[in-house]
Amino acid sequence: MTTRLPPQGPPEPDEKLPGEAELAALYRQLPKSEPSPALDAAVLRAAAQALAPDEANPTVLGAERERGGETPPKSNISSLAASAPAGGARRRPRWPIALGSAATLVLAAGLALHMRELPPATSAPTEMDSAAPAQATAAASLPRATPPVAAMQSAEPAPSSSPMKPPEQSSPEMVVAPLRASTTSALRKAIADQAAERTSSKAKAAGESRQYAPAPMAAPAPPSVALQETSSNSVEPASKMPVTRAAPAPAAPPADETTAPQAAGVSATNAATTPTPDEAAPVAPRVRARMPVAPTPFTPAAGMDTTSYASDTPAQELDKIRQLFALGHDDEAQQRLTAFHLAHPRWDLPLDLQAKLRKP
Amino acid sequence: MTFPLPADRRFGLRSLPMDAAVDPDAMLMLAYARGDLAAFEALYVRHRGMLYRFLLRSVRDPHRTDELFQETWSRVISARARYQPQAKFSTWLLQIAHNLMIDSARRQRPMADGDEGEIALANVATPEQEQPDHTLSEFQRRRGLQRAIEQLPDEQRTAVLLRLEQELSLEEIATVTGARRETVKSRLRYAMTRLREVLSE
Repeated sequence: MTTRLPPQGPPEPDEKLPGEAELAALYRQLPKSEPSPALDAAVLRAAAQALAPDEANPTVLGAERERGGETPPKSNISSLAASAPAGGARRRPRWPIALGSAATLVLAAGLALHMRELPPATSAPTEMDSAAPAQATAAASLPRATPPVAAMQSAEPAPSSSPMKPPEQSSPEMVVAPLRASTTSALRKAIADQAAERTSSKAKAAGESRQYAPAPMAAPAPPSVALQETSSNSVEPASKMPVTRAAPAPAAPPADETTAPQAAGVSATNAATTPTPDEAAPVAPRVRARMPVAPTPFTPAAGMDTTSYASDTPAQELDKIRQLFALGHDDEAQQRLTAFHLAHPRWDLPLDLQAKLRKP
Repeated sequence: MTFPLPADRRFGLRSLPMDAAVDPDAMLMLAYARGDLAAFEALYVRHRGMLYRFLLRSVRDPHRTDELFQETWSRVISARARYQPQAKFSTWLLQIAHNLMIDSARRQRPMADGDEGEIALANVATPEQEQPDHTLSEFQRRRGLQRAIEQLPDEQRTAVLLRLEQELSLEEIATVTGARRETVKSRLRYAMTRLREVLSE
């Protein structure tokens, strides 16, 4: 509705026309007609509806008039509808839509990032099953008078142990973190006391030094590697997987390296059958220590590398020794098995390798 | 329909340090464009009577008057977003009404005859504070004025109504009607001369 408008400013006083004052006085005496209340209501309702966010068309004025039955619209309503812009829609604030869209995008991106970091859904239950009992054992045993340090040691590295299961780190952290906060001083004191006992008692030194040494703190790394091996080797029995995962402490190479000189005098059978270091450990490690790993049918791969590397884990070394036996290199296999047994006297050898070890 | 306070008091228009050229009605219209429904109500109260009378005395048909009245306000509502206070709001409002009236007259000829319009105007209540001895003469003079206005040509009648009812200036009447100032002045001269002649008979 573009109109030609005069220039802004106070209007110049017009000169009065002849007889205008008399006519104006008489005109003011004419009856003051007013619009009907229904007409007022219809106009005001149309104005209100034009401001409403979801009804932007002010042409409802005609509909209101029809409904009221005052004066039915005869014409110009359609032209009015055509000329009436969507004023209400124009006045409608649009920033909530933009803000909502942006928030949705951010949420979707965050979810996608989070879902990408999650492991496959099939492995989640088994990881939780293997981790939860350890945490529960630790949480249940800590309030006792003599806290089981091994349990604490097995529980503490859990949150930061395996790089293969980052999502499960959150729940163990939630269990262990309060325990750390509340019983840190008590645990440290208990560790100190038992360390003193360890130094005073030579008889128990071999077992208990292994049990209370700080080495198991770094122990969970090898099991994760072993888990990688077992998961990559499709011929391994499925029963071995939880055993390998749940036994972080005995398989720790750093512990073996540090305790190897001390445990040199311990016989192989004693080391294999006496689970003293695992007395205070959770159930799963104890089961793994007492129950020898079942011999697995080994099928050597054609191009498998049997060379011994310093970076090989004990499990890898045993696999390579087993492969050498399978390939017929009994001498080399025997030498490496003997060397392995000397280096890791407490390593729980499989039955087939134990038989090979006793042979000479 | 009751509106308790005058519009300028309800919205504090008098207390604002406004320029003299700023139209309070324009401020109300701008407030309504920003979503203030009360501003529109105040604006409506200020102009409903004069707009209705202008339309009624121009078209002399109550039904068409209601229709044009509603359409005029609908145009105002629709144009609120692009309204710019470049002139008095009353001038803009009357210009809308005048344009609608002309369009309606073009589509709907002939207009209501003189008797119907006279009846419509006569049905409006008369002022009550009138002396009994002057009632007849005043009534006759008013009726004579109404008849004289109705008999004026359309352009002259519109100019007279805008001048007498709205007290618009020549410039404002020229704006509303789309004519030149001198043309408006000439129309007013002819119309007032005719009215005086009728009243003096």
